[in-house]
Amino acid sequence: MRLLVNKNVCTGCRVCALVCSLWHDGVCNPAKSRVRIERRSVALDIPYACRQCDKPPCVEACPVGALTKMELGSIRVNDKLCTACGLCQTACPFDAIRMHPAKHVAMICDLCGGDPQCAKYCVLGALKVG
Amino acid sequence: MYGYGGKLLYVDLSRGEVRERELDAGFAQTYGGGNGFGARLLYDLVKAGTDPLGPKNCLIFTPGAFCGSLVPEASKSGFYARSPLTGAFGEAMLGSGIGAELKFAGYDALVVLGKAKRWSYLWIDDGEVSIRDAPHLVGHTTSETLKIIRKDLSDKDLMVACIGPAGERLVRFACIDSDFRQAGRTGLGAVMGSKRLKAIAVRGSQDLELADAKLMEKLLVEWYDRITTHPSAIGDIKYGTGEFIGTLNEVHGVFPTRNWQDSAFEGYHTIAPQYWVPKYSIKTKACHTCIKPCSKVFVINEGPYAGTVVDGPEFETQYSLGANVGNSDPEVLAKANELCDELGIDTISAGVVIGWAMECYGRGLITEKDTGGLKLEFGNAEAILKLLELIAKRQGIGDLLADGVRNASNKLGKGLEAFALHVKGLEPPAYDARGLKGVGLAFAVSTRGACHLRACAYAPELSGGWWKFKRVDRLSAKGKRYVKTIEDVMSLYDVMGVCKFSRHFYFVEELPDFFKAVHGFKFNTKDLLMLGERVYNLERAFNAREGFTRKDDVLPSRVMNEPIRDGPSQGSVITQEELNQMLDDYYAARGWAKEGVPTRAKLEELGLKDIADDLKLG
Repeated sequence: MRLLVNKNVCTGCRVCALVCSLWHDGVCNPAKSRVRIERRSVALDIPYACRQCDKPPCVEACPVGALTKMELGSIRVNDKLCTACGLCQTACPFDAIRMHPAKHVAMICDLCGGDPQCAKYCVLGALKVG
Repeated sequence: MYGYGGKLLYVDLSRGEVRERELDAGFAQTYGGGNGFGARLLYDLVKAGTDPLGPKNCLIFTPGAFCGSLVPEASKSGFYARSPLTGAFGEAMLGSGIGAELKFAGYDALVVLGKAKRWSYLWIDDGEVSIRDAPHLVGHTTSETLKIIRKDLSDKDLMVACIGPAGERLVRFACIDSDFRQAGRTGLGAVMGSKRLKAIAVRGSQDLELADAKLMEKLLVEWYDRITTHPSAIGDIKYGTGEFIGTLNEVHGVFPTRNWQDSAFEGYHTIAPQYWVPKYSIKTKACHTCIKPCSKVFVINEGPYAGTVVDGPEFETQYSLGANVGNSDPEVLAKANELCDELGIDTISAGVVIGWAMECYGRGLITEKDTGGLKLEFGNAEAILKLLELIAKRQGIGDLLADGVRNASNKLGKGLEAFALHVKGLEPPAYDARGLKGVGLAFAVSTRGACHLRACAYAPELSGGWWKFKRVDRLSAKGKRYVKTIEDVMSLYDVMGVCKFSRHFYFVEELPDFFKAVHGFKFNTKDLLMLGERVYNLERAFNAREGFTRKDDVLPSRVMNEPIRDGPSQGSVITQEELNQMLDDYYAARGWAKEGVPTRAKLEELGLKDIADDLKLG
């Protein structure tokens, strides 16, 4: 499973960011979202989301082996091992990794276990499951 | 407290002081949020007779009660102040994400008092608030200001609300821009400018806890399908807000044209979205957490207006900078819209004031000598675009127009009130009240002047009924008591921060579940209608304290004295008798005195005894 991102149809509504935090943390807080939308200009909204790379640079960059690519395609973060060093963030070509502001570990898309909430509520399909 | 940031933020620019107060649970439940918080804080903090552009006026910003909570369409936050355009309750809402962001920073209201010694901007970074110098921002357009602040603070996602050059120069219909949306009406950009506050930047990363997150998830599943498959949503997504412009011109004949001299525009086809969306629109945009996006991004790639990129023009702008100034060129319309957004002026007021100037020119009351050689003929693109710049910069004839149509008309003298379109000083939106008499009543009584959003009174008059109201005869002055109820419901929408384009699928009966999920409030339908009514009465009480009574609930002279010339509504006009009858019916429905002022009994019923005391009502 993979997230397909099409910035040309992103409306910039940012439902994805809120629904991600609600699903994972039970609260509304875009700072705790694995998806981020940048409204750069009047005509440009850019979604930043994990694309489930075949050879994930984040996994390769992790110095403590905290990241694992799962069968589903997503990356699993082992919170006990992650030191929040940020090397995975730097390695990600899609700028799709952020640090959890409370847990201080890397936040990486887990595809919501197979039913990505962001894509489910993306009205024009800027985020889709492929 | 669930669903709230939990604190109110007060910033005194004169003293350079910042303080916080806890949000009181009783206050939250009584006023909800949004315009409930705005109206109560404004009533309490701004004394009667305060100069709207003086340091004692407050600029208040409040997110709707549902902002940031994932309730679909809960995008709206509002600015509040005593209006420099009307002297009455000033309110302007917008669909920017900055409202939710303020909650994520921990605040349910921002109150700005005083006046800064030099141009400043406010930086709210979670719990840390600072007043920063802004001389480098002065003179910049709204999108430039956003870019500079994001660069200054090294944050590409930062939410900013700011004024353009027009707000700096105290143009009385200056707007506040945020997230490429505008808080347009009643000139609150001038209030911000009068405080030397160029911008407000917000970043929040705190949790908004919901009372029942599981219920919210369930509601989201249910409403996502209901909304995205609703015919009104499908139409809005396709063509934006102007999809019915053809009907208003052809079937009803109530689309004000050339300063309301005509009520249908022969050139509407090319300013209609059905024409320009396929040709010019490159994408569809949404306000914050909206799942029925209705913003169309208009891009011009070649010709004299190449490089124009604007969110819009929306329905009201299709009227104001289209029909009302006799302009049928969609490129000129888009360019004019872009200028308004960048310079920071309200498109509705701008189009009406320009339409008025054009009629004056036609009558020889304004000449080329006054305009510096500009020929103010209806439809003259050069004149429209140039006037917008002159207004924003208060140069030449623009200085006169920048004070709004009422002030400009009074200043020019010569009995021009006969064709100055306004109520209480606010220029009217795109509904010719002569052919929509419920809208006429709503314009007359609205707390902020000629406004289409306090009541959305056209809904039962045009769309074959709404909620529990059957279609009403738009050409009759009878049966307009519904305006009271629809005002209460729309006031509730403004408390929740829910977009009024959702009024066809969110009915009052369905709203208690959302309050339960977000705040844990156990409201029933009656409680919610009362909440809307409470806030509406509070707004009206603010105006009563400023001396507004029945004598101010009037309509523009043209609406009352010049029948619609031709078309489907030919001959229709609102006579003084009809207005009197509608006002009597309306005040009775409201439980107000015949003078149009809330009574003690009504205010006490709504839990506003202290307001009745303050107004010294018997």
